[in-house]
Amino acid sequence: MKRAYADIPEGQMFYRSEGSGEPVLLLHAGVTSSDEYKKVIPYISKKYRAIAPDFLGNGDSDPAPHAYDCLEHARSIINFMDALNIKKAAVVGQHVGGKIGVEMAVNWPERVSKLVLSSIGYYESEGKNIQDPPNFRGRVEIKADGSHLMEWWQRSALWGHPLDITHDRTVEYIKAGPRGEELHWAGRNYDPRPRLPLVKCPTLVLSATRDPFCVVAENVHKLVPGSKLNIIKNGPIDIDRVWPKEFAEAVLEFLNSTPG
Amino acid sequence: MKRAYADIPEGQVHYRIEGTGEVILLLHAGVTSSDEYSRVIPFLSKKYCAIAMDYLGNGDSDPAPYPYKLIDHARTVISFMDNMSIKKAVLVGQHFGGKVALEIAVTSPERVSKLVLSSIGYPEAEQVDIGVDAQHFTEQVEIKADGSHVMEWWRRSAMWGHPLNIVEERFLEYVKAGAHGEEIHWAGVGDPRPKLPLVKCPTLVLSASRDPMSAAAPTIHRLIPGSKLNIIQNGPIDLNRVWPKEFAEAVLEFLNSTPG
Repeated sequence: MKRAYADIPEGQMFYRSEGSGEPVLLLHAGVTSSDEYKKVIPYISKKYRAIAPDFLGNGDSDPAPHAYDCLEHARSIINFMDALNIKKAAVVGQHVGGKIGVEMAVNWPERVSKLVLSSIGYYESEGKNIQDPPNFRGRVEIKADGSHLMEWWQRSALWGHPLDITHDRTVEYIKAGPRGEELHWAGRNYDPRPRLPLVKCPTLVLSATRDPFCVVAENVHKLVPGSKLNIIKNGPIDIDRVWPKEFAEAVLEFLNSTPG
Repeated sequence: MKRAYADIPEGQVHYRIEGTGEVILLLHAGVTSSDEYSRVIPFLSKKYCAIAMDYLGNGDSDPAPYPYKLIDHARTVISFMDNMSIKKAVLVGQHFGGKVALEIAVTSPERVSKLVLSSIGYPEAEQVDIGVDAQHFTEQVEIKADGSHVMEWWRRSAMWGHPLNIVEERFLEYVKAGAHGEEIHWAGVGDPRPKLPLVKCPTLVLSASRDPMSAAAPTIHRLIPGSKLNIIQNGPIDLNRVWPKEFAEAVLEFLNSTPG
């Protein structure tokens, strides 16, 4: 697996890539980076060209010029595809990465061959179906006593992951810095439901039973015409990071069985 | 300034680059990265091609295949120069980076046109001036479930009394280097004095009066035939990160006034 930078109009976008053939773009979740796919890529790259970029403001990419919404992130990924001379790709997105994938598929249908939406959610207006812990999405200021670090550690440790994964997630918070939560906000402020019926390409709606957004997977599936649904039994949140083999197998099964 | 990766036999080396002309290769200190030159490079790149690389195991480069010694890091720099088709360069090194630059100037003199050694020390100077804290300072930090290791990294970053933004930058270096980060401080242990009389190229011995290593600078200067000495009055430790303008001006003054 190689790491590299692509130059897009907004700055430098970092990415990991491996393999050759049909491109598969892997889009990460909020306040993480392409690092979450590092154990997934070796499975995908046996048959496809796996490419995972860091969204602007996350991981090792340059900061976004302002707090981007999902459409702006989608446009920057199209710019990234232009920089790499990729005409069309299968797009796989986790959480907010999936929402950005929806915007790519709706606005640039000629660039997206297939779509995998992994645990994308939405918030009811009352906010009662999915509830974040208090202050979970608030901006974290850097303080001289270093106490902000424990706040990031707590946000990373919330999901009961093994220690190495909690540490990796903390590194993501630290790299993204005080503006990191902007990507979560982009996801939270985006309701995919009006957009899902506009998706025209073959789509897999993927989730894991222990991911809080699993409860809406069935409805997401219903709203995307002709989509497939695969809910991984007992699968954890951050499934691509925690269960990379199961995640990759679900993606590969869909890609291999779907003409396009 | 652009970021990019070079592929050398041992892995991927991350670097920052700006400007054209004669190459100035900037070598960083222990448990930091090319980021420490981010504010120096714009001064140098007006007249030179300024390049700062991350050693293996630090910053955004791949990990070292085993705990590297000084000579191994020097070999990585030569591999990097080969990969970038740089026949000969001005080498500028800060702390540990100065020891790496010295090693290259002695073992591969044909690759080094001029040398800047910024605040390099030797064992007595290092023990006397850093004192008791040195014992604890370079111990390995294990990742713990309660997140207390991040506070230890914060403490090590904050111990020099830098402004908060610089503490945060240094802290990020510890996080990126991870549990193996301190290996590079260990690699720097050793006495450079026997090698100093072997340096044949024009050399500047640079230091800052508030850097504990400045006490060693006159001795370093005396041992290198024909070298120049410049101790910046009231200058801080991590001079290149904290006083980038003064650091760059000292380097440029030396380069502009030295033929070859």
